[in-house]
Amino acid sequence: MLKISTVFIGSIATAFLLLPIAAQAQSVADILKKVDQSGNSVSAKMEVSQTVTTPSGDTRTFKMMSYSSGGQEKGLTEYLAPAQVRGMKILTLNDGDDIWTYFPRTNRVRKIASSARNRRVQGSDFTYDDMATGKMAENWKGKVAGTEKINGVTCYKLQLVPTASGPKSYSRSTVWIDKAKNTMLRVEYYDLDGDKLKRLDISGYKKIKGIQIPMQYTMTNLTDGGTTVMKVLKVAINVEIDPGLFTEAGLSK
Amino acid sequence: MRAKLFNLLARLVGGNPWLVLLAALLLSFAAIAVSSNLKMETRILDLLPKGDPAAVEFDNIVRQYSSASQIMVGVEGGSRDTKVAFATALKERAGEIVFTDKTDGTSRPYIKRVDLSFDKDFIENHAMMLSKVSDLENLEELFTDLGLADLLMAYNDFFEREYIEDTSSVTEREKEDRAISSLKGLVEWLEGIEKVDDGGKALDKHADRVTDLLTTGDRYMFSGDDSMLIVTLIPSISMDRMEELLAGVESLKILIEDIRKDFPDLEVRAAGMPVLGYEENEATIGDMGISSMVSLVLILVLFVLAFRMWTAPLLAVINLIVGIIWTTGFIAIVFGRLNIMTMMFAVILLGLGIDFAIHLNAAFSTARSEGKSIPDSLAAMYRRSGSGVITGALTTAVAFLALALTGLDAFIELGIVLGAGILFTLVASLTILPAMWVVHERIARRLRKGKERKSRPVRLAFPFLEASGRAMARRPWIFIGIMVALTAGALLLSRTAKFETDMLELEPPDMPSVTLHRDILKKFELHPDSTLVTTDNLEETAAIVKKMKKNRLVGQVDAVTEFIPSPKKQKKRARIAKRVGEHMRDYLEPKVTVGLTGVPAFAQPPEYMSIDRVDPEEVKRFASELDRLQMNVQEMSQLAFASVKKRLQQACDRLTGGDEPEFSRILAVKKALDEGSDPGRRMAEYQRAYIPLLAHKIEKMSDTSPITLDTLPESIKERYFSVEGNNLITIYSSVDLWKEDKMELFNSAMARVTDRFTGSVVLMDRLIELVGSKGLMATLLALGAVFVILLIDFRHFGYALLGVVPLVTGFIWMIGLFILAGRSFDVNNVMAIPLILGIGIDDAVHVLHAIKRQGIQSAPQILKHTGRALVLTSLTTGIAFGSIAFASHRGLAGMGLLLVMGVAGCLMTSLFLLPPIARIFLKDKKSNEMSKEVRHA
Repeated sequence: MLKISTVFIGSIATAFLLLPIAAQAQSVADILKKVDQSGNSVSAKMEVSQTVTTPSGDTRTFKMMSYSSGGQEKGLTEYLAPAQVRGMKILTLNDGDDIWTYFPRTNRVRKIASSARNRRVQGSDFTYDDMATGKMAENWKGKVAGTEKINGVTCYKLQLVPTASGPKSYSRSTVWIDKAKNTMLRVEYYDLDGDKLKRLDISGYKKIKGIQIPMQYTMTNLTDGGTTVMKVLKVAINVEIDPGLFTEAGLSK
Repeated sequence: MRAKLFNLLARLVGGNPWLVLLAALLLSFAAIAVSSNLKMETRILDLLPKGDPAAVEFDNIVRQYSSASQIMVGVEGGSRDTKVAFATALKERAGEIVFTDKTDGTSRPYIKRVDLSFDKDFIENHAMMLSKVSDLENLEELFTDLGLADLLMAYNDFFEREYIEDTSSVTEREKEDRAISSLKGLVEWLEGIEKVDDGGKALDKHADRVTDLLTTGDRYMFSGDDSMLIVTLIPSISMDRMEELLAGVESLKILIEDIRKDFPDLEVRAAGMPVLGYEENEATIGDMGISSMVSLVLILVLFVLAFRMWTAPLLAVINLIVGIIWTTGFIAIVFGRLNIMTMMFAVILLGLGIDFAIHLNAAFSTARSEGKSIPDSLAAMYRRSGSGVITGALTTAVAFLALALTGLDAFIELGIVLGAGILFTLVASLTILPAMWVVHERIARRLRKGKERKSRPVRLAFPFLEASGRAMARRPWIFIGIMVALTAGALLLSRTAKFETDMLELEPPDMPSVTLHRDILKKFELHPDSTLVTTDNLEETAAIVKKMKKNRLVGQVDAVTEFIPSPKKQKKRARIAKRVGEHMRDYLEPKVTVGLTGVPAFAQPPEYMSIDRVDPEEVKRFASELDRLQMNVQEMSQLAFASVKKRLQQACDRLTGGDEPEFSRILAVKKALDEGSDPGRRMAEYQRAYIPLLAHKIEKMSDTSPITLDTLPESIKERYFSVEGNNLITIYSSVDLWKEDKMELFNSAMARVTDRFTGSVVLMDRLIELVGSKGLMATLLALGAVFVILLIDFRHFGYALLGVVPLVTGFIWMIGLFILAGRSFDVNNVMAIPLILGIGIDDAVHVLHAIKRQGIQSAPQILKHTGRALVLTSLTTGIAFGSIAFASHRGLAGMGLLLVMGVAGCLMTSLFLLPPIARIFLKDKKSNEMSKEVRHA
């Protein structure tokens, strides 16, 4: 899947900030490989806010704590606010193949059906597919369609189609990568009918421990106007995280 | 040329005043006679060009499908049963409403059909053939065992599988609706245990209702919280026969009020295009009536105050009324209708036409006060004021008529109506008004026995005008600087202009159809203004329905394909339906036990019928399933909250108590079971009451006979098919489509699926687009027309250019002032923008004429005399438009306010910007020469 995150929206930040470091080479394969290499073996802990605006204009903001480990292989997101969802957790293992949800009010853990991978994560405009962390080079192929400016920054414009192991919910995507910093600035997703479906804008890059970290992700559904804005409030990378957090039993603790 | 005309008029009117009045009277009677057929078409949509593809498609649909003109009645308050009782009474008595068919004069029923509940028989018999395979699989699992504990366990499994382990399900509209419906039925089913002790008919009635809820869902269209019931009425006439359609709405309202006498705790409102049209008509006709009366009275008062006389204002008003009558006759002949824009023509003519009377009256009174005879005074009046009045009227009329060149019907009608109206009023002012004065003066002289009346000094002299003129003559740059700064400020403000796309925001805010419209959107998350598509084949319909259902902007899609699945789908569904049906028959039919040799076989009743008391372990299992249900629904509530799905979250919280589990309806069932006596007996008794019914209904639903067009009930076919064989798809949005961004997104989504969609929102979008592009064109055309008239009138490029300066700056002031007042632009008031060019130019024309006549060095005198007249005429015009600004119809009110600000802006710039600019840029020498020429002439 096109690398966006590990576990949940909160983890998207971790994934993105670690992905698009390279992109020096001119071929898509090279660019994608370097993007893949960039995110491995890094743990991260971050506090994020996520604002979901529905097509009808209703808005809800959530605060979450997100943990990832093993190069995004494991991830955990815990809702901190508002009170109605405080303590809800989502655990993702095996690069997003296994997902569990914990409900604090009932103290129960539920495994999410694997068939839900191409569906929305809660009411957000991200799907589980968007957040899965398979290898870019394995899941996407395509060509460099030239260079284009995004917000005044010169970018490689990549036109990609999913490989056999790639995401099933998109027919293609267009990705813009900052030529100078090798950071991903925009992704456009097309549905299976070939219509433009969603746009992801990534902005506010900050350099932390030598890594370019984006501080904001905005996913816009172009067919219904729904948006999900995720802001990274605090971030710590390469920190030690209790492995017990990433277990089904650890969810209810 | 003009001198000849004035001489001719003076001779004609002065010599034959009675003849002139008789001719005017005859013409007025003729105009009144032709006006009797004038129609009022107040829908915004009536402004669209007739040949517009979306408008043509809309017209075709409303003509072919009466369901497109549906009326929705919203019933609120009281209990659920009371609301149903009211709706049932409405359905029974709807036949009482009749209308007179204009085609043959006969009385016919107004309401063709009342949809209170879905087509029960058809749905109950074919529910499984109409359900998706995945839903049937769920249903098969759910109804494996119908006992309380087993069925509840199956429901719990279903919720966990469908909603909790697939968290995205709550974000899908169909699944959300199904969850709300299931939860509602489930809790009522569980609460039925408490009704066991009531026994008899009450229990049977409850069992009947809950088994309906568990199988086909709520047969009525209730909101999720049961607070509103919607009943749909389909008129027997389509929307193209608007007059008859609207007349029926009045009868419907009377009927509703009559029925409501038996249901005093209910609040009932109606919505839908016919109701909106009716209420809009009532409001706007009332608004225009009040506005006309108020402005007439205020203008009279102002006239009396200014000129200290009673007869002149009265005669001026009579003259105006005649002008309006002639214009009405003209409209009836040319257009046959008044639309939402042209219906305010009378108020505009009152405001503008009175100016002619003021100028002419001032000249006539002055001449009379100078001791001139009546014929000489008439000649002096035409000579002094006639030219200015004619130029002003022609400029205004031409500016209005220029709108006709835009090609947009709405502008064409408005331009022609107002342009013609100004010309008719001008003709009346130059003929009837002087004729009335002549007659009045003759009568008055006879009454005074030949003595001439004394002239009286005018009031409302506005001394500040002369002082300003003096200051202007000394320091023109200061005035120019101030005016330029103010104009720049207005220009800056204009950058923040907002455009209101919500048609309902133009309506009176408390109009019942508007408030119900909003409430339906809030409670049902369905936008009542649907989008309509027709196709000529069911495959295309099915494809459109499938694609549109995927979009979150879509709340509901209503099409015939929902009742006729493809043969392939029917085949798949039939297999599961057959299994379920057979399984249910096991519940219903006695099992035959084959006896041993010599012992006769006997029929054994179904097991649940023979149990008097369920096992205590079963009671415990049921109680634990209730706990499980409470947790499942709590988790669904959290997921709904995280997914911003308010309706589902509220539905869940109503069952679980939300943050207050002590109010949980689910746990209340458990508590009642624990605390009541002999729970096993009560459970068994309840099972005996509902299981046979439930099994019977499920078995009935499993009818696998193929559904074809031939087997489809007429009531369904009639709703979706036209006589030509096309079928109608009705798409209800889940969001407020009157919001511009939603409107654009929705229309884009529709355009990806088909290019033949239409509906009131689509047409409004089209109108906004057209008004935007044509509005600019209309403004430029009006400006161009004004410039040409000025050039012809003054035969001097500089004067013509000077005339445009206060107009353009006044126009900018108008925009700035309107924004400063916190108002938004909309299709109503944007259409009025070009009008201000025709209205505002009058002030500049009179000031320029005065400058040309007196020379620019006479600025103090110009402001004293001409300025005073302009303030008065602007006040009268402002009063007329200001009276519209208080209309309950917010679109009209905004337009009135905009025009008031336009009049104020043009007055200010004509008085305080034009003279100082003329002082600087028109050489004194030139103006002096010109003034000499004028004096010499």
